Amino acid sequence: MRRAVYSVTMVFAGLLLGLGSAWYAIAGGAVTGVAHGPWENNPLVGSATAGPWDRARVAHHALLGLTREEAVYYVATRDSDGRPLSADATYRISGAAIPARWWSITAYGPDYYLIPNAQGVYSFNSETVSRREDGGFAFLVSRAPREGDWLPLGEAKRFDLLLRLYNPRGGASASDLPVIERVDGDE
Amino acid sequence: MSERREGGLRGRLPGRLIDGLPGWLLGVALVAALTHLAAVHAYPRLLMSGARAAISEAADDTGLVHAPRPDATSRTVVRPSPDLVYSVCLYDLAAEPWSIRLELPDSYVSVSLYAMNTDNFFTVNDRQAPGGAMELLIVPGPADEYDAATAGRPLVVRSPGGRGMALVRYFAGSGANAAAIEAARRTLACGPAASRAEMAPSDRARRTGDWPGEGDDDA
Repeated sequence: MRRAVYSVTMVFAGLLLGLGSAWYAIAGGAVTGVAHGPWENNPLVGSATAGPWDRARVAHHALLGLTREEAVYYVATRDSDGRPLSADATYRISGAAIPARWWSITAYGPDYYLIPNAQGVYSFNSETVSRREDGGFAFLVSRAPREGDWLPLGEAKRFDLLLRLYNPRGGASASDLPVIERVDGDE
Repeated sequence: MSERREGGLRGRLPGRLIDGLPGWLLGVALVAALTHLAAVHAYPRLLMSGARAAISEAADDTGLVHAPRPDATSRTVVRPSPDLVYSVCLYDLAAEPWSIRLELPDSYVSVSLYAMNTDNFFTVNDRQAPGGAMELLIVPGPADEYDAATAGRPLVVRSPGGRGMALVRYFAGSGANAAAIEAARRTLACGPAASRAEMAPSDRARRTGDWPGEGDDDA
């Protein structure tokens, strides 16, 4: 009986610890990557050479992502000043022409799905964004309604932004990518 | 507890390792390590199997499903892009090669193939395809056993596993070309290559409802 208790508790504790540590390794914490200003790119997304932990993490955060020749993905959880994005604030996302066949910037909730909102707007892309004469663009991101190009955050308490570049031309540096500027909500 | 300690003090070296708390902890660590490794290896395949099962519920008998443009109710795969219109073709090479054919709209479209371990092992987009149509032949063996791709003949791609999925992405752009994209989607056909001659365009059994778990109907 004693030996049975010994074995059963050992296996049970081992299973719990193994599964718990695996879940933490896969889902705990953000997927870090190479920073280009506020935009982080994980070079392992779409890579066939990823080891088992990276493959599991990428599957969890970015299932069915594309290889880098077709699309490059950047996630922003901070603004261009390094402060964490806040759904209480208003941000201006602005930039010049981005070197890709087309691009999009999408807001996601903490569950990685699109944020419900009355306007049914979830992103801006290279064809929907209004252009200045010099080809540049700017749009606002906030919960509170805004005039002009506005990406609504619905009732979100937290969000992040995903920038997709399809058929990117060359390696993008931080200066090619949009600026994320907090324009109000400062205390 | 005292019995075990006595046994440990009195036992031989292997006995001391096995008996008592240090042995128990070692056993826990070993089970934990094996469980951790197995879980990490299995997780991507589990996710792909889950996605495949959800998609096949909505798919027609050739494994094809056309998803509506993503919105906040789309919760089958994380981070769907609201700027893309997705169609999926599940393939299974158990019997024979699988054929995918589509006519191209005037805007971006790509076909990407995924193995069940999540590898995106092949992608081709509209600018890389000759002419106004794209045709892929997915094969289980070495690709050079099949006729090489020339103009008008299929692009032959070797799948690393017997099953997988082809994800077709159409760029929705400003939304002005939505009708053209739907017309292009209706030309998407996939299925076992031997029956390709009998394959009709995809709308003969098309499901346009949301994937299971989204929306109201479960078409």
